[in-house]
Amino acid sequence: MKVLVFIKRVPDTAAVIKPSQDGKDINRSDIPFIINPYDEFAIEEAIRLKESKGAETVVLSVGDEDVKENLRRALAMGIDRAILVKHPSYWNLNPAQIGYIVSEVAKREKADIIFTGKLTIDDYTYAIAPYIAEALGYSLVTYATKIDYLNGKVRVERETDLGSEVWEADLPVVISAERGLNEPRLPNMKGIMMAKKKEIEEIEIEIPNFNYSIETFTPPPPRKGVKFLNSVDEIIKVLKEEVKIL
Amino acid sequence: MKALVFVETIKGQVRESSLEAISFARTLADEVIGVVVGKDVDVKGLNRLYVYEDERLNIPISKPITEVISEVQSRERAKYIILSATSFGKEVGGRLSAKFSAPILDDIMGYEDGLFIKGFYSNKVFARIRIDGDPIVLSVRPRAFKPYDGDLLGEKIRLDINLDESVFSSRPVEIKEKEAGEVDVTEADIVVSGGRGMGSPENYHKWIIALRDAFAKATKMKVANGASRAVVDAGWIDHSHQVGQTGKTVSPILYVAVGISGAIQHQAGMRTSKNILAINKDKEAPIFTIADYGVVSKWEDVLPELIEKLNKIAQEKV
Repeated sequence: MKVLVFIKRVPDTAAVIKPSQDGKDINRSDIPFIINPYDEFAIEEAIRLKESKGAETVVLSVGDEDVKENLRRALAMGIDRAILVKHPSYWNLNPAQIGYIVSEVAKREKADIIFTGKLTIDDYTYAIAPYIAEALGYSLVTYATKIDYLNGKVRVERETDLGSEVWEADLPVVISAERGLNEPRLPNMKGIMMAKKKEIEEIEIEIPNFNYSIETFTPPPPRKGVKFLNSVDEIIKVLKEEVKIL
Repeated sequence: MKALVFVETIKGQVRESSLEAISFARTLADEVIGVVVGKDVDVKGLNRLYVYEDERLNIPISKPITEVISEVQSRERAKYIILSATSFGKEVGGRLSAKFSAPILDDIMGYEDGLFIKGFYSNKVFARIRIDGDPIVLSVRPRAFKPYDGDLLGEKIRLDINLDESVFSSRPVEIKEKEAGEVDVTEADIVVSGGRGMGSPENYHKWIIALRDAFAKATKMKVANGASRAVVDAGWIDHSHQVGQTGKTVSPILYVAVGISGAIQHQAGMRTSKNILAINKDKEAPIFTIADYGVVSKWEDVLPELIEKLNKIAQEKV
């Protein structure tokens, strides 16, 4: 069994993000970066599968030298191998281009299960997991909160905006991780030391060209400022006269 | 120019967010074509509606539905394929992007001068994006556009497609629907959220739910209960209610934050709300930097009376 995990490097959720001077990018050099939080659930799930059933685990990301830091963290957590598909400005890629890259690597690796986060918090896309499933002809289960591994298939609890569901899917399968799937471990010292020694395989993949570009970043529209209210009657008055919902 | 819209239904009802996607589609294209799968329904705002009835798809499954949409797209060759950015719409969007080697843009909030507008980094910044292709796949953020409310009712075309069994390689086996009256935070007109300041899960479940229900009765609007990450992590309520950068992004008419300090990650999920009312005993809480209305007070001194007055308004309305 081979398990592939796709992760993306994204700004820390606590980072203050501002448009760069020319508005073409953000203050990228001033902020800390992390593994996309949903991808951490994906990493943890792969490691648990390896520990319980035995599997070869491979982590994959797209980007520049900086991304190696995030791949090493995945290795330190317990993933066996890491692959970096090189791209100088990965943050400008369209989700379809990222999906294409993961699909190509998955074909090469002959992955049986592919895990990734349900969404990437930078560009707020959910497209990567379904893209990969469609491109490879794999089964797909999104928004997974619990996974049981059965013979040749998985049984997955998932959560959507309509409620919770249980799905079954035949292998090979792409699964996207929702919060609640597991509690990602922190790498321990031994893991960190081992990860330092491991080689990160670097490859290049030619990707389809799209007419897709971010023209400008702007701060969100400012809010009008707070008006303090001193009683419930004042709240009711505001709800009637200003918010106009009563 | 043509746009193709996937119309989602729940139990034979068209989802509001699909009507929003239709009105967005009408701003992009002069001819808007719809596809509905599962049960036959009437949908306004479309020049043509393709209907594929199949009992196996009363609970939607993305692979077979992608096949149906692709069949319609092969006939219509629309420039834009548009979905609403619901859990299901976003899944189908990713598949269609692969199917047509098309660029995709999720969670669109606006369109201006040929550029699409969406929040990046959880709405900490807004981006204007140029995207072109043949086709392009777009998903539209719920509540970002007004639902279509015109009268256009185009012809209906029934689809006869033989779906191969192989497209059912993943399928639902058990569905636990939300409780009656429970609305998803992304689709609610009003979101009432509680945070750590509520003190205990019991307080959350008693008072936040009571406030939610009081708003629902007094306004007749769709009201949902939300939560901060802190209380979701503490297990007070499941994460489908979490508002924030690693939860859901909401844009209701009114967002009520009770006992939520308003960390930057929480703000990211609710800052596009039309009105924000914050109740917090700490005057320095960051939530007040983005709130429109603030009450500096313990929630115990506000919620019971507010609930009572809303209930009174509801009774007067009857």
